[in-house]
Amino acid sequence: MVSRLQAFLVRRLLWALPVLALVSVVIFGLIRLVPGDPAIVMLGADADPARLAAVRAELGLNDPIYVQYIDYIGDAIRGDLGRSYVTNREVSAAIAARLPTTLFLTLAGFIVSLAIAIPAGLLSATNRGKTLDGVGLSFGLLGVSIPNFWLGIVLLIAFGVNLDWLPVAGYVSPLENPVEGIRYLILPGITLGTAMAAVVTRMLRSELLEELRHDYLDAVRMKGVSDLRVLGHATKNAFIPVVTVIGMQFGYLLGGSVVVEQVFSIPGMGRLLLDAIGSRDYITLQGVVLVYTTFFVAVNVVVDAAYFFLNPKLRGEQ
Amino acid sequence: MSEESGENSRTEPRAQSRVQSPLRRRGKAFVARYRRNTLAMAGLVVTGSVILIALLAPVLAPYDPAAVNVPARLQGPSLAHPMGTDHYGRDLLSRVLFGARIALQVAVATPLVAGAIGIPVGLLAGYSGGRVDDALMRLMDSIFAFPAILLGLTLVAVFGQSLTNIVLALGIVFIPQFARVTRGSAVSVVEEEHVRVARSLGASHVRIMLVHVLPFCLSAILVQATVTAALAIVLESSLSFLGVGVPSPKPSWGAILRVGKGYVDSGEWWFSVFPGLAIVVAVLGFNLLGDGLRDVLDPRTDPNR
Repeated sequence: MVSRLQAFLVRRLLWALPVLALVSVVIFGLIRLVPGDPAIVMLGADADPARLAAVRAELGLNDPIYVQYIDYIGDAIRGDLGRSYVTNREVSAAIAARLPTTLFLTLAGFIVSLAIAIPAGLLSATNRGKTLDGVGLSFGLLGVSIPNFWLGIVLLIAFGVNLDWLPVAGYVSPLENPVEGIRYLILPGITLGTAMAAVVTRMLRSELLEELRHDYLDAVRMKGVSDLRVLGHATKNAFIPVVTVIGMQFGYLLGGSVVVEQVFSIPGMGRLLLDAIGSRDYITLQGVVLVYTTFFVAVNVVVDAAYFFLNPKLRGEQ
Repeated sequence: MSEESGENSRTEPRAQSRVQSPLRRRGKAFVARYRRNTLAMAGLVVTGSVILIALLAPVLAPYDPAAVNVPARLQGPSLAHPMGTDHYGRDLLSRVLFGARIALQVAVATPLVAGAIGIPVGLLAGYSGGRVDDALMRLMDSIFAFPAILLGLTLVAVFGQSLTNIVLALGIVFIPQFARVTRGSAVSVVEEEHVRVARSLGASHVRIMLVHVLPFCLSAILVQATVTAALAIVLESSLSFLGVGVPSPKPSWGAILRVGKGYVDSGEWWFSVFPGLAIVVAVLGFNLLGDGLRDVLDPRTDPNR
């Protein structure tokens, strides 16, 4: 028998697939909108005619556009995103080499943001109107107003250049060297995670205040349950809507990593993307954007599943 | 919100006053509430100052923002150059002041572009309901499936770097938000009595949407516009920082930071600290304004939330 969770997930996947399809059409179409002959745009007008012909063949420019698209997607599903004419590398290989770096960075930002937001939101809500709440509220407002790249530069000036405590540029994989790897991820993680921490702090605070207002908590308190456990109960309920926001923010972290990689010279997918833009390497560009978007959509599906799982009403428990 | 207009349509029979009067009454109450809200007033003051600075930049700036003065390059803050000078000896204060013009153009134009498409889409979706609603909102979801900065990067990479293209790209990025917000308000307004009355009097769909639904969505749209302005400034400066934003001779704050970042290691901190502070102030202003408007326009929310 199909459980409600399974049915729900299938529905979400059925939503995600057309979105991905549409997104891929848009990316594909956009690249074709580049004025002029893409082959000449990529190689320059005085390029070797044989290479121009090879690029046209690789792009399938002689076929009708829908054939080109179907070919591209067919290959993409099998993991082949084409070969870059600038670097002469397989795009999927280039992405595979960079993807773990970007994911570790995003994860670092995610951990930092929750490590800040959960205590900050709880303290802010339970100390409503007091100094701590003011600090939490100010953080919520400032955190979303400071662009992450500038926060990164300020951290670089303070911790990297003046205090010399942490590495300011580069990347070591935490899989190869956990201690160094984490040291390299601390400043980028804070840079990336602060904005999300601010958003989640605000959201958690207001949801928790809403929850603490409910009468049922008084009843629980009167039964002699400790304040801490009452808070725990309220927090669990307050978290349900917060999860959606956390999920959406995770996607933004992925986008923000492009900027943070640039600040801290981290060789991730964002650098690959910027290099591709700089060298008009449209084959790499469309592959990278497609992979980012796939992750973004996948995260949304996972978040919806988590939301479903946390929310007893949706789960329909008997 | 809904009770107020519902009550009104019962007491005033004529279609015209039914729509006008609750809006005007809300307007007065709005100003009174706004003036009592400290954060909202702070937002107004900060945003107003940024607008003034942008308008008066040629008067306020002590130097020509493009004037190269190589012997004075990379000087720290002093009385002559309160924010120091850049790698060409240009006065950073003057560049930051003129940068407010670019930031403000982006902050104003982006919501206009996004609203020009997003509002009609949301209005149509919320008014029609059913399949039209589903289809339009799914389309919006797909735009939303791109992380904003990636969509901006891709669009600028394809269409080329210019202030106009950046505003267009950012405008496209924010279409779904405007569509969602408008749809959200429209869905509840459509249920209200004055819309049903207008319909029974034979008003056309377009007229109902524009005259009887849209005005009641404006407060939510206004909040969205201020939030979008703040985000647009952040995104424009991010794109410029990445080197795909406003082309280089223009003193965009993000573009100054792009160069300034290269001088962090050698100790020229002022080069990146001051332009960044300018971004924070401008963005904070719009965020305060947005928060304030949200509190004031929606009396159901608690001002301390």
